[in-house]
Order: sequence, then C-alpha cells, then structure tokens
Amino acid sequence: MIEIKAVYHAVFEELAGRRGEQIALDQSSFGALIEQLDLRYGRSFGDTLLDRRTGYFKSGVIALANGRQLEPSTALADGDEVVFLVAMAGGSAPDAVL
Amino acid sequence: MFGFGDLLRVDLSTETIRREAIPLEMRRRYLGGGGINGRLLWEHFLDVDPKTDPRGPDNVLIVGLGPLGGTPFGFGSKTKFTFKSPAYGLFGDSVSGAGFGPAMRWAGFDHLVVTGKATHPVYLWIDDGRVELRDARHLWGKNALEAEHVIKRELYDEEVHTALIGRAGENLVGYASITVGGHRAAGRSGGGCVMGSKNLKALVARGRTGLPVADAAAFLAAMDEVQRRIDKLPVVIDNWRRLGTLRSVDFYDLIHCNAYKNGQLSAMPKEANAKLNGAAYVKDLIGHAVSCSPGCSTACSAWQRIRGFESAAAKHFAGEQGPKPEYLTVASLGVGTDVRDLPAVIHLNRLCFDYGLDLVEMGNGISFLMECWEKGIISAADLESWLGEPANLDWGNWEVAAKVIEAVGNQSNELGRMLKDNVVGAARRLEDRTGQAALKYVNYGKAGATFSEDPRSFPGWACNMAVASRGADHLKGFAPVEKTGRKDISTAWFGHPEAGELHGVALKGALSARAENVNCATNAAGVCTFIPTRDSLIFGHDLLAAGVSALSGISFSEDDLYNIGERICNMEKAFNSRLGLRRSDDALCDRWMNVPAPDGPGKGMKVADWLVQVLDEYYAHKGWDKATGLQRRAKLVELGLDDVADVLAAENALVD
Repeated sequence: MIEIKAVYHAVFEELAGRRGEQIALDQSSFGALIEQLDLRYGRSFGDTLLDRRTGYFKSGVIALANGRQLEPSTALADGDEVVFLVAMAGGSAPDAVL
Repeated sequence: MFGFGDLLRVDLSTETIRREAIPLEMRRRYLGGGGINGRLLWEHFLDVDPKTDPRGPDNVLIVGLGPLGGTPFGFGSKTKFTFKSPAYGLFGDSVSGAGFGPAMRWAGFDHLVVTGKATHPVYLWIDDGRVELRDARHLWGKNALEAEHVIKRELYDEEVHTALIGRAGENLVGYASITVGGHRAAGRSGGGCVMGSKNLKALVARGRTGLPVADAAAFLAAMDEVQRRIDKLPVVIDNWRRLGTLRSVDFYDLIHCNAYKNGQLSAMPKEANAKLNGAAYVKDLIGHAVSCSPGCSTACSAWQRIRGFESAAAKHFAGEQGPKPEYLTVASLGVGTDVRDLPAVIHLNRLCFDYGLDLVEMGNGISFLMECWEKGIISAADLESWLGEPANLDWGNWEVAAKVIEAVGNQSNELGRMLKDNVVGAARRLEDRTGQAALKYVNYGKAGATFSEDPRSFPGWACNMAVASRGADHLKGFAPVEKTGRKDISTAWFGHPEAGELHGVALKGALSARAENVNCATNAAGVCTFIPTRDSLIFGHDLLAAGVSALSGISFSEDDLYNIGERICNMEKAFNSRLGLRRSDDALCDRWMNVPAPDGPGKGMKVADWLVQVLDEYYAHKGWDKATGLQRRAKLVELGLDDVADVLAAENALVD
C-alpha cells in the first residue's frame, strides 16, 4: 500500500471537482492510479488523458510525478506527487490545494 | 499573379527604388517569407564578400511575408527579417507579428530588399503603389515608441504600420531589434543594428490594394477546415487563448527547464513562480485579449495597463500600457534575473521595445552581470564608476536592470559599451578588465545567448540550440514533442515513440532535423508557428498547402511544403558554411555542456555526455556529412540546389 498526492489542473480539476487529494493505492503503478480515478470520476478522466490503446498521452495533456514523465507501467512511490495538467501550461502551488 | 505580390528593391546609397515581379519558379522552390528572403540573401552575397562587416553598407536587410500572411486564414501573420547578423557574425533572421508585413503585402509587395547606406537618416514610406524615402533627421535620437507616434502624426494616419528602431539601433548595438507596430519585435540577430548602420530609421506601410484570390470558395473552405481542427482541441486552445506562451512559466518549473538565476538552478522557488506565472498575470493584470497580428483566430496575446497596486514595484509604472509579456519575456527578464515582480518585468520589457533591444540577449546579459556580481567578479567600485552612483547587482534588482538597459541603448557609459556586441563580447571585455574568468557564466551557442531555458536534461532542445543557423536559437527546431511527451507524434514521424521521452536521447537529433524543415515551411507560408506546433498531427501542413493553393491557383502539396522547408534550411546552412562554420561550431557553452543539471528529474545530465550521438543522428537525417557537419552534394542536388553546391565546392565547404 502506498499513498500519493494527486494534483488536478484545468480540465482535470473540472472532471475531479477538486484541486487535489491524497489517494491510497494497493498497486504502485501509474496505471493503477488511473483505474482508481476512473472509478472515482468516470472513465472520461482516463479517456481525457490517455490513448487507451497505446498508453500515450493525448494531445496537449500530460501527467508528471515529481516532474517525471509517466506511462501506465511506471512505478509510483509512497509520497509521490502526481500532477495532471495541460502540457506547457500550469501549474504549481500544489501545497495550497490540499 | 493571384495571392502573391512583388519584390521591392531600395538602394539607399543611390536613392533608387525598383519594383520587380517574383518569378513563379522561385515561388515553387521557396514559397515566400524566410524562404525567398533566404534565397535573396544568398544571391546578394554572391556579389558581396560574405565576410563583410555586418554593420557596413554592404550588408542587406530583407523583409518578407509569405502568402497566407495578411489574410484571414487563421494562423496570424509572421513577417521575416533576414540579413547577416551583427550579433553573431553569421546568418541572421528574426520574425515578428504586428501589421507592417501585412500592410506591405496589402500594398502589393511581399518582399523588400534594402541595400547601401543613406547619407542621412531616412525612412521608407510605402503607400500602396507609391514608394518614397523621406527625411528622418527629426526622428534620429528618439526611441521607438515616440518615433512611431511622430510618424503617424506627420502622415495624418494612426493606422499606418511601422517597423522601426530606437536608440540601440542608431548606436549600432549588435543585438538591436526592430520594434514592429510598437508592441511586437523582430528581436533576435540584430536587425535593428543593420537598419541603424544604413541610416534607416523606419519602414512604414499603408496598404489598401488588397490581395486577389484565385479560388475564393476553396480558400473559404480551407479557413473553415482550420476552424474545424481548432475545435478538435478545446482543452488546449482554450488554455492557449487565455495564457498564450506565458503558460510555460510554471510548466517549465514542473519539468525543471527554467534557467533560474542565470541557469544556476533549473526551477524557481514556488514563491518566485507564484509572482511570475500565468495565473498571476490573469489575476492582476490582464486587460483584453488581442491577436499580435492580422488573421489570427486564437489571439493568445492581451493588452494590459498597470494600475499601480499589483505588486511592490507597480506604483513606479502606474499607467504604463503594453502587450502581455510572453514566456520569453518572463524567462529573460524575470526567471534569469530573479526579478519576482511581474509589473517590473513588464516595465523592463517595455524599455527593451522602446530602445529596440533583443530580450534574449539583453536579459541574458543582465543575468550574467548579476552572477558576476555574486561571484565577486564585478565590484561595487566597478558598478559605481559605470553608473555614476552607488548601486548593486543583487538578484532581483529591477532598478539596476533598467539602468543596464538604458546604458546599452544609449551607449552612454563603459557598462553599455561593454555589452555592445553581445554577452560573449561583454564577458571577454570583463575578463580583460578584471583578469578573472567570466565567459563560463555566459549561456550561449555560436556567440548568441540561449534564452532562459535550461537544456541540459532535454536533448532535443539542446540539439536545437546547438545546431541553429542563428546563435543558440530555440525556435528553429521548436516542436513540443519532447517536452510534452508526445509519443504519438514521435511514432507518426519516425515509427518509434522515443522522441516523446522528456529526457531520452534517442531520436532527438532526428526530431530537430525534421522540426527545422517543418518550421521553415510554416514561416515561408506566412503564418505563426505556435498553432501548427500545438499538435502537428492535427494542424498538419495539408492545411497550409490547401490555403496557399486556393489563394494562388498554383497547386502545392503537403510534401511540396516539406521540401520547401528543407530547401530553406539548406540555404541557411550553406550561408554559414561559407563563413567557415563546421561541426565543432554546433555546440553550447560550458555551463550547458559540462556542468551537470543541478536538480529535477534530469539531475546530473549534461550536454557533453550525449551531444555526439544526437548530432550524428541530426546530420544523418539532414543528409549532411557527420565528420565535418558540411552539406553533401547529393542532398543539394536532390533539392535542386546544384548552383549552391557549386559555390560551396569552390570554397571547400562541401563534401562531394
């Protein structure tokens, strides 16, 4: 079991209805996090971010864990901060959102 | 000819003005904008020694706007200025929005070639088909914003479009820019210096002739298709319309490529970011959205008026109006210098517009001075002797930054003269003066400053900067495939996803090589690079090809445009090869090459570790020789540039 901090910006903030949250994961992969978020907010969350067939980010959106690029098989570590955002756009200030 | 205008030649020495048609064959091979500019530059320097002093009368200023510029196609209008660069001593060019290029086209001219030197300050007045040189002695000594105001008043027309220089250009500062429309700039490479060296204060145009369209229905259909594809990316485009390039401030902190404090770190502290990011601008400063040039349907810029309460420094600039700062503005004048005050950054930006100074070189110069102050290379006594009063170059000191800009623009003291040519030159002069090593604190490539982005953990970005035909430029090979992790674009372009890895090395040379060709074609078509590069799978060059074909009645395919782009890149490369540039020149400064990235996911990476691999791949994709970096005859012949190959061969600058 690990716990990560998810931070949502732009369209992901709209989909989640919040700016961020702590999430506990049984499996420590980015794919497991997306499954969890699909359950919480509907599959439109993952569909907005990823091409399900290839696992690649869709046009103009990205998720980063402490600045690292992610794909579904990427391992996450306890305490990671995963940011969902429009690529080339904001934002930061994650301390203020939780 | 439908969709295309003529070429205007102006010789300032003889005061002759000539109008010429542009041959159809030249259109097919170079299209327009930077393409035809590049060809005209090449031909000029067949008669003139390419090693000529770029500040001398033998240099040339070429202005061009491609066929979709000045039309409502939807991707704006980007005018190219081309010349031999006084800042780098190499190929030089710069791109600007605003209305001068479109007005020139509406007056019937797509390209302008200015040669010689006027006996006294003049400006060029293009009023539809009537063109004349007018006395500008009363404008000499005025900065750009005032000079533009005077010109509009004396022409009794607030709607004329200008491209002019401030005092920096008059004083032959190597990186003097051309201020266009008072709110945009052809910033890089020193076009303003070339104008100043010719006693050419301004270019002014009013165009009411319009542009004949070959197939209006097809052109409208092409415009509709642009809008349809924009509508496919609502998340991206809405964000782009709201923030424009400013949105990169905090994204770049997340991925660690902001060159904070002259590149000593690769991300700002959160409290600094919060003062400079897009959210801060939208919260306190944004007025109304504007497009920077005619024909743009996304309008990523804005207009603001500082009211005086937005920040600690804002009261000093209350009432100042101007365009929204770009990411480049904030990076150059805020991130690199640690000026944590957006109104102060906007004020410094306005000073650069007014004096006519390239933000990249000027901002890098200020950051460099601040690091030299931190390291004890510049003393309090030095600074007081330069400025005539006690001062400090502490990080974030916007007041001293303003004094540096004024000193450079006015060339009024030793500090300004030290920074006259470029930042590399300033470091060498400082080393001579102090006996201490300073060049290692300049971030540059090919004598040009890299703007405040840290490339050490981004091999594609570093390759762009290392190979750029103008000094250390980041835009020639711009493609957000690497930094936004676009493995789908990488797969579409190369059959493999690796170019979409943020910090990976594989395919990054290929990415630079291809993106350069694509971007050259975009400019040759006359439009802004930023929407097409939002997503090259959606905004492919099939859109531009359809628009140009409908406008001109001449069929251009997507492949034709790519070939045109590749031809343009090869012309720029050939120009620099004649000046002696070889593979060893495709490199970056000591900090980027040898000092490991200090933080972030790419911590420990440095350019020297992988540049050889990336360059090998880059040259292979260009069809150039890996050992020397020179072009091969076979590639030039393939592009129909046999005549270029012959010139290079005669000067031992070609591999047969």
